[in-house]
Amino acid sequence: MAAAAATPDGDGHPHFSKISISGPALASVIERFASSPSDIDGLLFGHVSRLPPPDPRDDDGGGHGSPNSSAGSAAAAAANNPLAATITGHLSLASRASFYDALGRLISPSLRNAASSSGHPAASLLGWFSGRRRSPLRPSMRERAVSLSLFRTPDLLDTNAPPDRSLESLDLPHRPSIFLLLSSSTTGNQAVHTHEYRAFALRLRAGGGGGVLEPRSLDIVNVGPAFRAQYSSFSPVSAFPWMPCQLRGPEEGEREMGNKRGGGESLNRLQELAREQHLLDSSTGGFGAETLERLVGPAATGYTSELEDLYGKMLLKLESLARLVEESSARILEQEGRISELRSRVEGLE
Amino acid sequence: MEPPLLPLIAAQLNHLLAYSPLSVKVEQIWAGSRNARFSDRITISIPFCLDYVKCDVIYDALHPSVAPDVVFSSEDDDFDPLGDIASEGEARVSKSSLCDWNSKDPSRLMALVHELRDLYMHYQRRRVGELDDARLKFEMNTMLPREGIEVCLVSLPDRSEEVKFAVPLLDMDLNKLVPACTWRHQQKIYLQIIFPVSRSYSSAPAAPRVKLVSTSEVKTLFSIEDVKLPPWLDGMCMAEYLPAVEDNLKLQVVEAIASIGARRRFIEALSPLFGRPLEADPVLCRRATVLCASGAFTFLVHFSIPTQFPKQQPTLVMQSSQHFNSQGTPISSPPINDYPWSPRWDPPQTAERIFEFLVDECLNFKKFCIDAIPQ
Repeated sequence: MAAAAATPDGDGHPHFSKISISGPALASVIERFASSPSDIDGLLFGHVSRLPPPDPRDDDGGGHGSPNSSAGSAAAAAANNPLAATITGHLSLASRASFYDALGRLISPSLRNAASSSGHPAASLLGWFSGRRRSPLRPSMRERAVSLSLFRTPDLLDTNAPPDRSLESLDLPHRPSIFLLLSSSTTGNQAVHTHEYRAFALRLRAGGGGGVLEPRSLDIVNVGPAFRAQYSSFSPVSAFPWMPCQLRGPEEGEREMGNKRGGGESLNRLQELAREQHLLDSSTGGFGAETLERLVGPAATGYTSELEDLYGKMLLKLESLARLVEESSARILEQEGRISELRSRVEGLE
Repeated sequence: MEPPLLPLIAAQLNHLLAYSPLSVKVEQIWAGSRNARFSDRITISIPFCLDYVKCDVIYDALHPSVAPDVVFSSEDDDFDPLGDIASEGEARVSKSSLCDWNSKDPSRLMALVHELRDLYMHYQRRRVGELDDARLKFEMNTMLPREGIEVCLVSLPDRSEEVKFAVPLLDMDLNKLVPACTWRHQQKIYLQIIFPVSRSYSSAPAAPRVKLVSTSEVKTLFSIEDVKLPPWLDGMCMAEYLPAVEDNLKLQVVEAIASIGARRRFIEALSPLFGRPLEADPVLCRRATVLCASGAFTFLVHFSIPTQFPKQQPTLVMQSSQHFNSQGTPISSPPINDYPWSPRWDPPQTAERIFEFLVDECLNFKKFCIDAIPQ
C-alpha cells in the first residue's frame, strides 16, 4: 500500500480503489473486438471521482491506498479519500500497436493524435485496453510495459486543444493506470462464442523498479435500483450549445448590436450566438419555439396535424441518414478490403 | 485442425529449432483469428535449470511485421523482461532484439528467445538472492561465479519454497570425446541440488536433495542412474561436495568412453564368423544385427551391448525370417543372457563362443518358431 507514496515523481498519485464501467461502454468494446478481424487495442476514457470517506476507524489504519506524503492538513485528509474510476467510452485504434513500439515505449505524437481525435477530453484518459483472441487472460510482457509507460508519461495530457471547463472541473488529478484485457474464442462449429475480460490496475513497485498489473474487479454500471448512487453523482454533459438564459426584448438586442458594432469582442459574440442558434435550429427541424407555444393550452388539439408533420419530417431525416450510413459503410468496407490486400502484398504474404 | 503457420513466422520458428543450442520444444501452434488462413500463436518450452519455462508467443497474422508479444505462465507472473531491459538504460534498450524488429529476418525469434532466457536467468537469481536464508546466501556467493550454473526458486503447493541449482559437471566436451558423434546439442551431465528454504531460525538446516541429470543422449553412452553419489554431510556446502562428485564421475565417464572402443572391436570380431553385420550402431556401438543360416532356416540375431561392456555381456535376441505370427510380425526369441561369457576373453574368442552357442541354440529356436505358428 505504501507503493503509491513511493511514486518516483514524488507526486504520489493514488491508485483507483474502485473501477467501474458503464454497460454500454463495455458492450461497445466487446462489439468492436468481436467484429474486428484481428487483435485490437485502444484507449479508455471516463471520469474519476472520490469515494465517500471510509469509516473513521480506518483512518489510522491506512486501509485505503492513499499516500501519506501530504498528510498534515485537513484538506489533505479529504484528498486522501480513495478514488473511483468510471470508464464511459473507448477509442479503438485503426492499426494495431500504433501508439507504442515493440519494447512497450510510447510513441507520444501518435498517442496524442489519437487521443485528440477521439472527441474525449485528454484529461479523461483512464488507461488502455488490448483484445487478443484465443490467448491467456494474463497481461503480456509488452502490455505490462505499455501500462507503465502510459502511467509514467506526465505530459501526455498536454494537448493544445482548448480546455473544456465543464468536464475538467469534474476530473481529479490522476494518471492513466487502468488496463482492460479481453480475449475471445469460438467453438469449432461457431456455435458458442466466449468473451472474457479482466481489468487490471497498475501499482508501482516499492523499489521503484517497474510496475505490477494487479487484477481488479470491474463493476458494470447498469440501469436498476442497485445503481441509484451512480445517478446522484451523475453530472450531465450535453452536446447542445450553452444558451445563456437572458430575458430581453428584440429592440433591446438591436440596440446592443448598434452600440457595440465595430467592437471585435461583440462581433465574436454575435458570430458565436448565430452559430449556436443555427445548431439549435438544425436540431429542431423547422419546428420553432413559436409553434411549440401553440401546442400548449386549449387550442392544442388543432395542432395535432402539425405534430404529425414534425414526426414525418423527422422520419424522413432518419431515413436519409440511414441511407447515408449504409452508403458510407459500403465504401469503408471496400476501402478496408483494398487496404488489407495492399498490406498483405507489402508484407509478403502472397 | 489449425491452419498452417504463417510462412514468415514459420521461417523464424524453423530457424530457432534448427540453429539454437537450446533444445526448445514447440507445444502448440494455433490461430488467433476466426477463419484464419494462417496460424499465428505458438506455445514454446524453453529449457532452463533442468526444467522448462513455458510461454505463448503471440504474433498477429494480419500484421506480421509487428514484433511478437509474449505471455508467460502464471507462476512467472512477476517476471517483467521489458521492465528489466528499460531499467538498465538506453544503451541496453537499443541492443534488444525487439528494437527495429524485422519480420523478414528468420533469426529474430531465436534472438528474442535467447534474450528472454537470459533475462529470466537474472530474474531467478535476483529472487533467490532476496531470500532471507543464510545458507543460500553463502551458496549463491560461492557458486555463482561457476560457469553455466543456473538457479531458480520453486514454489511448492504447500506454500513452502525450494531453491534448485543446476550445476554442469566435468570440464570436458562429451560431444568431442565420442568419436564421430551425431548429437546436435551440447551434452552435459548436471548435478541438481534442491535446498529447502528455511524460514525459521532452525539450528540445522535440512540436507539438500541431490541427483544427477542428463539428456537421454548421454544415457545411451553412460547410465547415470548407476553412479553412486557421496552422502551430503552435516554442515557441508556445494563447493566442498562438488569435487568429490566430479572426480568419481570423471573416472566413470572415461571408462564409458573406453567401452565404446571395446564394443566396436567386439562388433568387428563378429564379421569373420557371421558375415558383415546387416545393421550396426556406428557411433556408440550399442546395437548390431547379423544374418545367420542353419541349413534352410535363416534368422537374424540382434545384439544389444550394454554401456558397461565388457563387464556386462550383450543381450541376444533371435528373430526368424521365415516364421510369422497371426499379426504378420516375425517371431522372436526371448532375450538370451545365459550363454558362456567372460570379460577376460578377447573379442575374437568371445565371438567364437557366441557362434558356437548359437549353432546349438538355433535348433531350439526353430522348434520354438514352428510351435508358435498358428495352425
